[in-house]
Amino acid sequence: MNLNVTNCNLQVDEIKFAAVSSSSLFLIGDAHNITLSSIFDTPPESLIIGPFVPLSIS
Amino acid sequence: MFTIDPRFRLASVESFDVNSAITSSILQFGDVFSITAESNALAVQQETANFTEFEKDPFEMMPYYKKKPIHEPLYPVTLNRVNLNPTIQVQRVTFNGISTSGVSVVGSVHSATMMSRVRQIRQFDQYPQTAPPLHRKEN
Repeated sequence: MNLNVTNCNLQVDEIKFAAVSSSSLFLIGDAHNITLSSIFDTPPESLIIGPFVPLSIS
Repeated sequence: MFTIDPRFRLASVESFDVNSAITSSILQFGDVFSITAESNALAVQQETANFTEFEKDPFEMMPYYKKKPIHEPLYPVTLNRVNLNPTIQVQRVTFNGISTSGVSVVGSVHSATMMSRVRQIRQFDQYPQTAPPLHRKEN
């Protein structure tokens, strides 16, 4: 597949945000190759009741 | 030596205001050939504090932290670019911070591979009375 891109003017006055976190990428410029992955596991699936943290459960 | 694609544009930023860069984060001005960032986090919330050490490295024991998502393009893509204006101009950038293997770049990047794994575990001494039924496991 061929992708033809014409970059005209790119002028930005202001960029404002809170933070770049957890292996995120904030880029002003060009890139050839970007690969981003994220795995996030949060309750209720991770809710455990008992005295131990089950470190062997996937 | 590596070469950055000469067709990449020049990035020009007038003012850059960032408060902090912490926990293996990168604030980069200039071109980069390769970025590889990885962050693994295990957040354990306990009802009662328990300061005993883990017997083994939790990141080694849990298969969760060994998962590697595979990205493969569906078909090869040939990109042809024409830059009518060879500069990217940004007047002002303002943000609070970069954290946990985050990367902020002003410039061109040849390749960037970023990976983040976050896992939260909540631990209660007994079944929480206030938790919705979804949270209860019958066993």
